[in-house]
Amino acid sequence: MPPTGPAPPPINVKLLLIGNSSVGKSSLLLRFSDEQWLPEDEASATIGVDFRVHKMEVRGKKVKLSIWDTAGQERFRTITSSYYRGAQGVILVYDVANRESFDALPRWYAEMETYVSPAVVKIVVGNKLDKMRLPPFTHTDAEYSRQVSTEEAAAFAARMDSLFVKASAKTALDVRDTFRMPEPGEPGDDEPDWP
Amino acid sequence: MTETPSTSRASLDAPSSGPIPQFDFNLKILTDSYLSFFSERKRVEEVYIDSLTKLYKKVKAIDSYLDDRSELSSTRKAWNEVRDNVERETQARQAFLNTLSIDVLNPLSAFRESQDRTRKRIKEDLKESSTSHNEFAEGQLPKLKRTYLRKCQEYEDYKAMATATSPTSQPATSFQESFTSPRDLKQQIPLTKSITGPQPLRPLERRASVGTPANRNRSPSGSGALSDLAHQGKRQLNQLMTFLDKGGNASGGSRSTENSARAVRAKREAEDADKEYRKAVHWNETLRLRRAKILEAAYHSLERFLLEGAELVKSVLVKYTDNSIATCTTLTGLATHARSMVELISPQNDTSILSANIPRSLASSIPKPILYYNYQVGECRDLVYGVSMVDYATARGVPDGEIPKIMRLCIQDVDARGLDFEGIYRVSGRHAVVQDLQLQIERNENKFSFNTVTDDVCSVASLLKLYLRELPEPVFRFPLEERVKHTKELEHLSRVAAHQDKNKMDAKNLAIVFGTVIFGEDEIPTEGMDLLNIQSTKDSLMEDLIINANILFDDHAPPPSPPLPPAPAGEPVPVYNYGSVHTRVTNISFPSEQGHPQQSSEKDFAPPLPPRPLQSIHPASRTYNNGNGGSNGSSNTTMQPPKDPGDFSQPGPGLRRASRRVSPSKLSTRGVARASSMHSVPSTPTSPRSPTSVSAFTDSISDRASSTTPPGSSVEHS
Repeated sequence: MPPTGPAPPPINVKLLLIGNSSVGKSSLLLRFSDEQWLPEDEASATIGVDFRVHKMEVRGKKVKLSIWDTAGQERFRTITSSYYRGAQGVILVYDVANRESFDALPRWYAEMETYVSPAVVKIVVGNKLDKMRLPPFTHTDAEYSRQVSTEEAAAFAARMDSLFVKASAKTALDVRDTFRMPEPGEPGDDEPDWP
Repeated sequence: MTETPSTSRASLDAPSSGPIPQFDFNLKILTDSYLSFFSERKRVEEVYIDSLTKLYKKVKAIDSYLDDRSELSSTRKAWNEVRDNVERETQARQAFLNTLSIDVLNPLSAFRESQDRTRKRIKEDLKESSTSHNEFAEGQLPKLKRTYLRKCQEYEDYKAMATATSPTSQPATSFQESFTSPRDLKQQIPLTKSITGPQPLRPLERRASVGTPANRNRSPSGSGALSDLAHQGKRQLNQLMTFLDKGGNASGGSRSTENSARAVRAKREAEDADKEYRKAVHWNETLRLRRAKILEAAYHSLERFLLEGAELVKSVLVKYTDNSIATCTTLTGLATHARSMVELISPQNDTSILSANIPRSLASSIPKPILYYNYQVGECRDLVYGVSMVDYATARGVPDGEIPKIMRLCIQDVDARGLDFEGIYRVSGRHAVVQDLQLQIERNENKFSFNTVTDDVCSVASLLKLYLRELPEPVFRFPLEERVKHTKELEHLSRVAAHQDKNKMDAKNLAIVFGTVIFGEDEIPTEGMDLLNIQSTKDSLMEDLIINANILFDDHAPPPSPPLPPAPAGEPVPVYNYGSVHTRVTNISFPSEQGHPQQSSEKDFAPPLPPRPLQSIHPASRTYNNGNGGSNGSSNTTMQPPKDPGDFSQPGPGLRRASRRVSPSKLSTRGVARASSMHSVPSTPTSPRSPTSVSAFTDSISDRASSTTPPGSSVEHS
């Protein structure tokens, strides 16, 4: 929208956070909007859908993000699936230390695609990067085998025509980028600071 | 055997106890309770969502029009967020609505439909099985039984006849038997068909709950019966051949052989009938078992219906409540978000834009004042003389308790220079000087100050007197705020009086000079008084005020005498006789507005109106003026004012008259009483209120009055 008037109204963007339960969707949002992090024993599972508004400027344009943070639990699946409508960006979160949550992504894609247009911006976020063990491995193989490698996830995201970012809500790594990327009108746009 | 069907029928067909009524009942619960509730619930939600959507669209359109022109204030920003929350709430509600369909209504109706089908099938099966059983048990089976019994009887009869004619002829019987059997066969085939044919049993295996299929190969199949017959026929043909051989040899005794042949045939028939009967009983049992199995299966289905129904309702309600919780949580989140936005409202900031512009806007839109143009000196910025103190204070924003600058300056000047001047306030200044000073101060009040060299103190004093005289209303006409201003003046006058040894202006003299200007020259009821008396009334009051200024206006001054003790009960309140003749506590009457008794009589409880101008054409004033002969204080005729309601409590006409006569003192007393009880309702009938302060004041006055003048001789004042 060209800035014609004295105060151009901010662009409204609806974002949706989806993914298995306890992959850290709410933590990402909390880190993003409040710069906070709750330790695991204090964080509780989201019930239904949480909502936050965040205003930011992207390349001189005011953007108002309405972020709907859905519950990952199965029992809220029906109600959360109703929030896809009208979303311009969907953030699919998985836990890099939990392969199961990564393997569930195709199902999330399937559900998402039944509700939103293909033009929606999709971002795959590998959260809990702080838990990722890098070589040399000092931990057991089992723990390592549950990990999802960055290459694998990046390849998957590319295949699904999605953006990919690794993040850590705990250490605040790259959290801003996650929410900065889904800018309307520029799906798939390369962010300069995208890793 | 015949009883079984009837008893079983009784147990099966009783309308209330069977599985079908229970099916119906539970289906009814499912439909009328759960499904109808949730359909209605969904409808309610739809209506709500619809209304919310409409509301949002409408307000959004209005807002986007209203907020179009300028930067949003913090209030509007918060409001927009609150308003957008309606749209978000709509989303949350929509989600909830979806779950009602997906999680609740759909499973419930699917279950209802499947169970409805089950019920229908069970009903058909039950009906069919019981009908076929009943029909067979009550129709076919008794008939076959009867046939069998009859055949047996026939055989017995023939046997008896045969033994009567010829003792034994076994071959003949065997022949008869074999000979007649083809005829029986013809009967037999349709008979077996009548058993098996019309009722091809449905396989019960289709119902999973039924363990064993009831329809075994127990009933004789048609083909099996025929092959039996063919086999039998062959054997009988052989028997016939041997019989013919024998018959050629033995030709006599045909009568006896005929009988025995009949017996044989009857026996054969009886045996066949027995066979059929046995088969029928067996078949009946099959039907009965099948019926029982179907019934059992029906109960199983009912059981499963209830179980699955309860499980389904549970899961559905779990989802329903979960979704309610989720929706409420989301709504709570939305409200929390709105709350945080509302916190950001800053009324000060929102007003600051306007506040910053107000002076400019005012400057541009208020017309310029048109100044007084004096013939001699030209334009005058400030009109001071002849402007009432209230107007003066309002126009200049003088704070409460401040006095006009002219008064302040004059008082300062006289305080500084004139206290010891003989005849201060009595000696007039030169008229030209006084007028010049007046014009000077009016040209520019702010810049004005006395020139102590040129302006003699008498002129200054005259200037003050002129100011006071020119006030449109006398000073003491007014309640509290103006009175406060005059504290300064009275204090000043009392200071002047304190220097009487030098300036020869004692309180009495000052009172004579200032009484008129302060109380006004007129409007004093003159009932029964001559002019001198009136004047002296004012003067003595003024004198009292000057002398007691310290007491009256010093907040910390202790009361000069202790408060009066309360009057003994039952006794009339005594009329205290101290004070000047004009100060009577008992006669205080608040509501009578000095000079306008008519008003107070009409509006007892209304706040006091400002006094009417003297030359008012108001009928009330006219009446008053006429009654007074139209003169101010010059008449000594008895006034006939309307009744004063403030006096209604007074004991008698004499006292009432007294009260009128002393109205100046009424005024002053009232003033003090008011000062003590600030904004008390002025028109309340008086005497009992704030007795201590009133009595304190009157005491102080009366002390002084009694010391100078003997009671009752007011004339002596002057």
